[in-house]
Amino acid sequence: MIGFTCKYAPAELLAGFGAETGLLNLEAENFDYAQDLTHMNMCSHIKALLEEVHREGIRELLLVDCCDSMRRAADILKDKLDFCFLLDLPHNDDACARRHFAEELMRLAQEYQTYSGKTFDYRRFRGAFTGEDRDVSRDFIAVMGARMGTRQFENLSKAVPMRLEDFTCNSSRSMSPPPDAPADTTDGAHTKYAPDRAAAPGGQDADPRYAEGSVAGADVNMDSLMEWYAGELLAQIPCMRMADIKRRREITESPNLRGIIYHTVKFCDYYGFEYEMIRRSVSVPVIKIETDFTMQSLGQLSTRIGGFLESMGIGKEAIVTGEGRYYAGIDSGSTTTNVAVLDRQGKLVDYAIVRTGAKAQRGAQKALDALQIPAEEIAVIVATGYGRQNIDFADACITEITCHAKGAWHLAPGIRTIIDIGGQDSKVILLDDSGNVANFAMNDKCAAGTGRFLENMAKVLETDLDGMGRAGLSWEEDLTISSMCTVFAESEVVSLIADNKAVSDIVHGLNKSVASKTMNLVNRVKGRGRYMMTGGGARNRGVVGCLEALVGEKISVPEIPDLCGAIGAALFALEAAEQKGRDS
Amino acid sequence: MNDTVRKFGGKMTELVRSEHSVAARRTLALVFRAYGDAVRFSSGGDLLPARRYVMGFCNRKMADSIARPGRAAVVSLFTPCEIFEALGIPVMVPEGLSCYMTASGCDRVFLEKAEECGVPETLCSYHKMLIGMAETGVLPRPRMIVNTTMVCDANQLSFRYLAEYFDVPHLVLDVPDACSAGNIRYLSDQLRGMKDFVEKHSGRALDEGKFRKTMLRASETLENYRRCLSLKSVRYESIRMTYHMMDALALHPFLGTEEGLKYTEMLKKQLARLPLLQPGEKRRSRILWVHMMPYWQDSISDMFRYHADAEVVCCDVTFDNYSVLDPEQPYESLARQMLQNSLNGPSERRIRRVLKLARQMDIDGIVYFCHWGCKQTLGASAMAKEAFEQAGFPTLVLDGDGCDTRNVQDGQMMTRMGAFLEQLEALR
Repeated sequence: MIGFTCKYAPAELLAGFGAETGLLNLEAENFDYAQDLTHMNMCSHIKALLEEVHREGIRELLLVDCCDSMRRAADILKDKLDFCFLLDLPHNDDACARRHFAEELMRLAQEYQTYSGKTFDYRRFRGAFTGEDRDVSRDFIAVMGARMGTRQFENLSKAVPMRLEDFTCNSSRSMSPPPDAPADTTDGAHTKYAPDRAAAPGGQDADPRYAEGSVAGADVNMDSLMEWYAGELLAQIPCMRMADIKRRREITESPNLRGIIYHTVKFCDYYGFEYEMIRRSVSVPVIKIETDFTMQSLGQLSTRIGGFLESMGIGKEAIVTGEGRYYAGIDSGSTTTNVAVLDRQGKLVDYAIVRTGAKAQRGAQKALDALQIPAEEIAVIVATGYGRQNIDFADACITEITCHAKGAWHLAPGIRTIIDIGGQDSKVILLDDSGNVANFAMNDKCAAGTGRFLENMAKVLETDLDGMGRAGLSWEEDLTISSMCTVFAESEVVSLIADNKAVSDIVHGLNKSVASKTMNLVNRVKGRGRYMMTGGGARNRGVVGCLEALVGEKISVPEIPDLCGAIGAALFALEAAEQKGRDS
Repeated sequence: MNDTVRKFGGKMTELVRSEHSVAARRTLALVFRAYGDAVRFSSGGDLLPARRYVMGFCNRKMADSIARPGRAAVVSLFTPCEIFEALGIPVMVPEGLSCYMTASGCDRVFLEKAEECGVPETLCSYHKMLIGMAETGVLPRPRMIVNTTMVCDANQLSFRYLAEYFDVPHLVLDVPDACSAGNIRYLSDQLRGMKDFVEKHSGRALDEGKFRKTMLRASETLENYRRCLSLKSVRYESIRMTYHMMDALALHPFLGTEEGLKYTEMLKKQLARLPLLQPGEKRRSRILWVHMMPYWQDSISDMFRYHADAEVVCCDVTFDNYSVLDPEQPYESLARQMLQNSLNGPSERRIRRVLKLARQMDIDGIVYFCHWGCKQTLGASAMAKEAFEQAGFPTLVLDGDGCDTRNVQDGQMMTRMGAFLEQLEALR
């Protein structure tokens, strides 16, 4: 099988030679092999591609020079495989570019023929066109942006109760087949083609890739066929790498579009730009998810997708309610599990905060056991937080985005922006005038700006989070921790300790760093006052102070900031019971 | 970065944050000019007068490019600027301008602004800085934007972003990988189109005579620099890393200018007067630097400035092609120059070019700098190291950032560089 990775790859041309082709798009378990061959900061898809080629024993590859990373992948692989061709794809789509691309397609045909010894057959070529399998005439959610790993897309399809249409860079392939029998079929005649032979480059212009050659035995005039084919390939909805991207609006202007899941790949820069433009210009809900082409980030993704679906008003489960006078919300976080219990009036009557430990279910049980109110008096339990799906005694699961919004609005009606700094996630949620989620942003996989970051730094400073919270208030020298990477920041802290800098000043530098990182999220959702800060991070007065300086106003902090999500979940439990009462 | 620069950067940051962007821009332009003139007309020290001259003229050109809105063209580093020079249009190049912002101590405010606007954190920081400058209002509205697709993906993103942001005419030169006659035709046709585009949007007609003279100057400048390199292969010259980056400006956006030609003529003469390295004489380790340089990073640049045993002799991006410019066939020869650029196309071309340069310059070791976000360089790092070491050149792959001061780890970089220099010392 000849592997390819891009919608501009001329798979039909190779099929015309009788070759089997297949899209390479699988996530990697790890990048051990790839990192031996290239740099760890390369595009994650390229590292996954190197892993897939190695793991699956791929010997033949057709690559398109989509981006800098793909060019380097071709450099790395070309001497390791039997056949590895890098197609020079133009950035423009005008007559000159199409001619240039047709020459490239002929170069591929020649090289593949030389390599395989096979002849081109027009019927095989035509038969390889699968046509349009997309249906935008009914409601759909578009998956846009950079390619999404096959398994990730499958998971997404299961999680989203609406039809997904894949418009990512390697999947929006759409071409009509050529006519049944082209007028210029030469019926087995020997068709010669040598792109640059007529110009006969010599001396410094000579390029070994443009040697003399021909597509022997082709049953069609290859010149005109490739010109047609080049035009068809270039006329697809453009990816962000192309110079003119106006036609991408066809996706967002579809009348049946209900929402957009925008996917970006770590260390691929092409699509972040379009996401911002789309976010500002479309009226349907948009969610951005970034993956690194591994399967390790599903927990965080499910929160985002859940929040996105809840904001669209779909995917909410009907809550089955039991007997009892109380309503509980369990927020299963990476560090702590928090449970809040409300009475029928919505008053907080009990709560517990325990360490989550290794299992979310066990942590949740531990939290319930820590309550003074017995479990049998709880009518409904709603779970939230990253471990919510694993708590099997919960009556329903709702994402922490929606629960935080609910909880914050309940605690302080009128709040517009919630800043939540949790153990492994930081998130900022923008509320509308009724307290519903209007927008939200979460940190990427990087730990910078999260509770975990401060926890690590506390260890380096030989203190704990409470100690850091106190120390950051009494700073004197305005130090700046410049590194945005957690690991580098740790080294920087070590250097500052070595320079005899005061712990309080270092802590202040760290607080500023967390505040600055969080402020990016605030700006991303266009945060506005009044602000509330929740999560364990809100206990750190130093961080709150730095954020107050950046937003320019006082930030409200609930009495027990860790409980906001759990209170929101408990409110959903209460509402479900009230609804049941009305229904009966 | 000394305290004066740090204070100046702080003041500029305050101006930008308080939305006094025009004042910040004017101050920056004023200071670039003043500093350039101060260096140019200073005396003493080891620095050759030619080096002081290049600082003076590059600073002046950089100040001109941002001085007033609607004048300059924003271009990518490898856009042939001879057409702009012949038409008297100043050019702004992200790599240059971003370096100047970092050297002025005010990089953070622009980089943070770009990230707030949704620019990916992993984007090349030179381009990120330019977007931040635009979004804060410090970058004036350009007259037009012309970029190539070669070498760097960020070109396709940042220039399109700026064209939409400023709503100015934008032209993309699509540069294929290989240098075939067909590709020369394809690109030279686009360059003719570029001439029409620039004429149309500047309202100026290109004087063919002036264009030929510009091409001739560009050709002579490259020839002079070739001679400078061969002089440097047997002589020792004490320069800071900053001046390698100045050479990159003189030989790219400012190629074809009278100042660029004068600079290389001065340099050629002054290098010829330096003493020859004597056979058997204990000499410094001679380093060839691959890719951009974090010249503002004192910890690294001081290792060469003060380290008695090592010097950076040359940098591969200052002089990245051997093609000859023919003023009688300007479009074809500019196309050939771009296609044959050692940074264009497969990485083996750049590796071959670096090896050729390393042998010519009698190099002891190679530093391969992985600038954050530059996938072309990162992706080839393992291959390049293997190829260089097989050819007998010890190689250090050094991760860093050419202009984002937030994104470097001094301690780690110094340890790696220090160990590498010790390794070279032991080998000599």
